[in-house]
Amino acid sequence: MRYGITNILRSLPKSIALVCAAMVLTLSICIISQSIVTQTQSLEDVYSEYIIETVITDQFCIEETNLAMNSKYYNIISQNLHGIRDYITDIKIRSSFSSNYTYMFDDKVERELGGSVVGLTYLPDEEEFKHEFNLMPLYDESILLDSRPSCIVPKRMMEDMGWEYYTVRLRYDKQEENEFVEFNIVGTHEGPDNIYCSYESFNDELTKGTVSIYSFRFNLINSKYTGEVAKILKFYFIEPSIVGAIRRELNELKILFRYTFVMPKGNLDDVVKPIESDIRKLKIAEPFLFVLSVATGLVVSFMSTKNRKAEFAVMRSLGTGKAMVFFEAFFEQLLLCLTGMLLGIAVFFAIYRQNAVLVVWKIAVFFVCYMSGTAISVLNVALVNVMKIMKANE
Amino acid sequence: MEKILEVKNAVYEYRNKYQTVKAVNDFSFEFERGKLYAVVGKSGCGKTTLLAMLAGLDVPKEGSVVYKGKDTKEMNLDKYRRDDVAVIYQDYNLFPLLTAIENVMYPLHLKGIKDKEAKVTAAKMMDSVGLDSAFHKRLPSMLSGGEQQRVAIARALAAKADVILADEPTGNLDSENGKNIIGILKKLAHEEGYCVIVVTHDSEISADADEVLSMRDGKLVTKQEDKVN
Ligand SMILES: Nc1ncnc2c1ncn2[C@@H]1O[C@H](COP(=O)(O)OP(=O)(O)O)[C@@H](O)[C@H]1O
Ligand SMILES: [Mg+2]
Repeated sequence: MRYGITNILRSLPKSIALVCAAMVLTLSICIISQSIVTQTQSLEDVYSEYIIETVITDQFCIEETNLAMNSKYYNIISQNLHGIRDYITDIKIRSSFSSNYTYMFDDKVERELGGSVVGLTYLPDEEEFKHEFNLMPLYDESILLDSRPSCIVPKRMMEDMGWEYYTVRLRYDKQEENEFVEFNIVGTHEGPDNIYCSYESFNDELTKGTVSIYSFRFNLINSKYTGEVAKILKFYFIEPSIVGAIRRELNELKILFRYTFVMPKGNLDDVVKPIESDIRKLKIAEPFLFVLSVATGLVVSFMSTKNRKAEFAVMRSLGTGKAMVFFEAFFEQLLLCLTGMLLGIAVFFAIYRQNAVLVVWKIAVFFVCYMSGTAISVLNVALVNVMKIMKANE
Repeated sequence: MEKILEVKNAVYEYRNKYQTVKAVNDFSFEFERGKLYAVVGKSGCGKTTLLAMLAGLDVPKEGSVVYKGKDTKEMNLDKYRRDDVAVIYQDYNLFPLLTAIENVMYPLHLKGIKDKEAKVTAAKMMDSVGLDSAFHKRLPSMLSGGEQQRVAIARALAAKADVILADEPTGNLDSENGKNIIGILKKLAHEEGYCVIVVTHDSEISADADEVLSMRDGKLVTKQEDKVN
């Protein structure tokens, strides 16, 4: 070790050249991996800022049929088919429409109100409400949620009743006297613009948009999942590219393919593609750098040790063991490489300051690559045939 | 005199793709302490190869080299080279980036001797070959050939070996420096009791040697007793 250090110090120009080689390589690897990190980060940012709202609508886009969306589709989400829940959020089943309904509380009071908003249009997380949410079982075509269907009633009505009711019975059809269905009251409204519900999004969703639009929609957790989600949706719905084509077969839920999904990506691709291609290029460059490291380690230490065969042979002839000679030679290279690496990292931090992200395993891989290159050429000199030392004399 | 190194029917071959060269062929001899031996013969007759075997750089293919009753084949050659023999080369083979004294200290460090003590010993060794402290800090490139060879001898002495082997140690030196080196080697054999074996073309060494071994085609042909002794 002492020998190695002495050697490094007394052949400074050579040592500096070796340190520089390791430094430049380390710096390149740091910069490339930094670029990959920052590019990947900005890609992630784009993806997470881009909200893709997927909407499922009737292929024919007629109001009436829109309303007839089969509640079985709800199973896709409630049963988490194909793991779709992992990719989506903000699930909404939206419907607001004006109609005349008859409300009845406790079989006593019956009221008729116009322009009411009926129906729960949002599928919240379970814990956001005290009761369970399921689609009304018998109402296959219903948009109303909950095992016992929920609804939002006029505020005035609740005030009249003294806020003491949690359920209401509702009659759809005035002709059929006994057709009352019981609902849970989950909110009140004062017309479509003022809805009071325990969850803000309710209000938002119910008041937004035009009346009589029915849709089943959700957002992607991250817009990078468009591919995955589209793949799942293709099992149940007609994919956007073939909208207009009528498919007669049944989907996985044994329902006729009839609904289409729309997943507007906007200019996402325009933003993402260049970044992705940058990252791809950087990732291609990276392994080359590692290969280059092996080569550089090999060449550089070959150059610096090729004239020193005699020196190592002398060591051997003086009784230094093979392993020790290898270690001496290797240690020199190791020290130079480490110095170069540290300098490279220092320069890297000087350039990028607080934004610097050091990917340690890449530095480690570089180190291993470089040193294995070095080891090959060091082996070549250190394991010299000792007999050769005599030949130098002739 | 005490027998220290013995060569018994040694054979050494160099092999390559095309041929096998028997560089040393059935060579036998006994070397004693306190004597200066000269090995002479035409170029290519196997002198260097013989010396390499004695130096423990390799072992003979057949026969044996026996040091103090032990076959080198059974020894750890690294340890043998470190402790029992020392070699001096025609082109000195000093470590180019170590100073003169560091070169001499190298074998001492190898033996695990601490820096301070090694320095004292090395200085003593250099003194004994006529190099004072002015030479200590010089790199080999700043020394003349004769001085370099003396450093090499000091390094050989530092190893505290019993046997000193030299392959044409005066080959690169002018006659005055050569004489100087021969003087040192002779003194080492006769006054300090080393067994010194010198391969040489130099008739002066042969003249001073206690025994001259003449080789031809890897074989020992004649053994002349020195007339003086
Ligand atoms: N590495 C080698 N490969 C093949 N032949 C060799 C090798 N080294 C030496 N020889 C041959 O062995 C013989 C003896 O060589 P050497 O011991 O160097 O002779 P000397 O020192 O007397 O000149 C020579 O014929 C030489 O050509
Ligand atoms: Mg020779």
